[in-house]
Amino acid sequence: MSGHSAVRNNPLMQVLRAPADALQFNARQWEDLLWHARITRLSGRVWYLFEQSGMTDRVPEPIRRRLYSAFLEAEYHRRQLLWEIDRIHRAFYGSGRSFVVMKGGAYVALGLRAAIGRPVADVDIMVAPDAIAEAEQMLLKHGWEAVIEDAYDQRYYRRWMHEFPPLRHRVRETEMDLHRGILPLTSRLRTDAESLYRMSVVLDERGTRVFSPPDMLLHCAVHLFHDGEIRGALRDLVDLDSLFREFGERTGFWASLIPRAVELGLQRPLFYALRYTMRLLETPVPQEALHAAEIGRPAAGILAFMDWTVPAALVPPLSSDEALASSLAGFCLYMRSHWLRMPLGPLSKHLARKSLRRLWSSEPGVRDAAG
Amino acid sequence: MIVGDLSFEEFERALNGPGVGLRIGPFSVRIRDGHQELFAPTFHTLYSEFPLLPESEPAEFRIQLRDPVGLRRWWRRQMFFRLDDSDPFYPFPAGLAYPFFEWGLNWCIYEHVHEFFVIHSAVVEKRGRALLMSAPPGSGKSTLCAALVNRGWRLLSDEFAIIDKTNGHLIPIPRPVGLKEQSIEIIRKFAPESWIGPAFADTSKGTVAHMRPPAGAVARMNEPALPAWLVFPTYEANAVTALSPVSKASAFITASENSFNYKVLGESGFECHARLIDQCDCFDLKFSDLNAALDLIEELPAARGSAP
Amino acid sequence: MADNELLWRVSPSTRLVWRRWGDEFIVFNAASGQTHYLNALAARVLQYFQEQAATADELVDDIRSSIPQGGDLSILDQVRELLTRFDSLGLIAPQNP
Repeated sequence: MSGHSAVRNNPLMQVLRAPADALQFNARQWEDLLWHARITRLSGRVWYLFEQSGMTDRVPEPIRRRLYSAFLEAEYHRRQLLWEIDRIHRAFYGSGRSFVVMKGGAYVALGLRAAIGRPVADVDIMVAPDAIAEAEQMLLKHGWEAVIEDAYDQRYYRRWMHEFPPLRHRVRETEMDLHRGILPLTSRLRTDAESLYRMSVVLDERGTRVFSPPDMLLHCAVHLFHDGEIRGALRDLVDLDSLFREFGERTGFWASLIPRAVELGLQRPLFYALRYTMRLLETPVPQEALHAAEIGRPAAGILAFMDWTVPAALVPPLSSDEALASSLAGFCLYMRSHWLRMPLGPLSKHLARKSLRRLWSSEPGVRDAAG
Repeated sequence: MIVGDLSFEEFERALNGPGVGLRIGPFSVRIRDGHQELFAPTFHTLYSEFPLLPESEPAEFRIQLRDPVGLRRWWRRQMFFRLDDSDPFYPFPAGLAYPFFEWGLNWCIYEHVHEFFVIHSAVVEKRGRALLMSAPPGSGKSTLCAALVNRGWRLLSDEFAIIDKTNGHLIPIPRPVGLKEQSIEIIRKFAPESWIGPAFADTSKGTVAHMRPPAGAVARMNEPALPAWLVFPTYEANAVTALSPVSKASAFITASENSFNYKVLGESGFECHARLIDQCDCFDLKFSDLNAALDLIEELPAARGSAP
Repeated sequence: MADNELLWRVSPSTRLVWRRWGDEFIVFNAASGQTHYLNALAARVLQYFQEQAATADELVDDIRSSIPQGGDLSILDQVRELLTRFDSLGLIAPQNP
């Protein structure tokens, strides 16, 4: 598998690194760009990059329309997300409790460049560790309800996960994850949720909170390299790149990032975040920061495994050879992520149940065309 | 070049090879198909007037009708509709490739198109004034649409009102008109000269067939129209056929519920929709008798005075 | 704080866009992206909270004062219902103490 040539020749990766390269594309490459932007949900982002480069009027009309439409959809998500934050404030009204908006919601609330053209499906919030039960009750009283009714799954979340069972608003049908931390309680990494909450910053007069810049970045890195599935998560890498670039312009950011990572025990995910944003997206990182981040470097064998699997799993395949390499890499990383999340006991039990369930339930997201 | 300029053999070869790119209304579509007996001939005839895409132009919807992997390739053969390389739907029986292509293309439009304001509505035009017939499926809007087209109205679409947000113009997308169940026979009798494709039985919507769009409607595909009437049709057996005015505010709500992207567009959708409602006289149409309904509709232009 | 002491108003973060056709109103809430159909009474209540912050009782008094002597007072119940409904839709919100 020639991971590097695949990364180099992929039209989406080219555009993410240097948008103006697209002006040399032929019809076929434009179509491939659109295809990859669609499956990675980066179409709106690509539109924003073209806009930043002042080249939207040189994009072929059919491609321009599709990218612009995706951008409009991301704008819709942005407005919806701000409204959900407003509604959560209403639910918390009078309680004296506050909440941290996480992930994409935080980028939107802060107006970061990472939020532009980026669709956001759910709202993720975290409350102080001692407030989680109270927060859940307030939300239930204001129209949110449990998505999962199954008692086993409910218990599983409450016992092992860093978030409570997901909630959905009865009328608006928006989904929300209520967090008490950023990693499952069973995870091999332990982060101090108390400290994350304490260091969070208030961003408006209603008391909406977001993580401090280093914590926001570390959360994103943890989410990509330690918690979620890496396969197909190019969007998360684009987030990291954008956060590095934007926060990197602020004085003191780089100097505080690595010590904070060490304090939270997250130097490994940070090392990966820097390595792969630089390799795949040419993110600028100061030399001293790179040097300090070496503290998170894994053993050579592990790194070789990651260097082989991560790019192959992140970059969407263009050919069937690439597709095979990508599924294989994705599978290896999937097993790794479960290994990282749970000690072996609950892991095998959980996976066994999960695969049993898959046998019975039909594939989600697929529907009848005539519907 | 139009589709009909290609012989059927040339067309089929392109379809099975690199694909056929064509312009359908404002959209550019590339279709590839894996050797379907019914698909290629039906498509070649129904879309014969549509322009082919120039070589250099990329398509925004790359659609593939693909065989599944495994047994279903031979036994009770099934097909997939793919956009790029993802399968948004359950597979379907291979014989239904044509109707599934039409539904799949509908899905592409209502799922991905936000550069226009899009309402679920049939649109026809006469003397520069367009009539929107907006309703959920089963209301008889396609039947009315097909009948009006055979009475000299220009077909813009039987499915989508595609509205330019900058000026409120309706953009034509004169695809074949989808007919269901009894309306297939009704239109065959109403307009024996129209060309209706093969009837596909046992789809989830019952039997469906497609009326070929008049050549003139396709030739005038780049010519937008101005909205003048917004009608909410309901077919109801034995009902007295009648047209009754509805208030602008309730027309606003009903039509916004029939829109695919009103919410996504936010305030610009609201402004665009309000302009549409301002421009239109709005009516409910309950009908059981097609000819009586058509007569009522034909009287609409008179009521508005002569068009410019 | 007891509910009847809450001061209500159209939230300052909300922008309402109005259209009027005869006695019927369509209002678009730019913050929520939702569109609402309002009759004349509902429009009057919403406009009231756009102009000032007030308690439920103050609103009811204001509406009562506009009902002619011997008029139908049952609309006052509708007014209280509207208040709850507007709150759940996020058209109005309690003012921060």
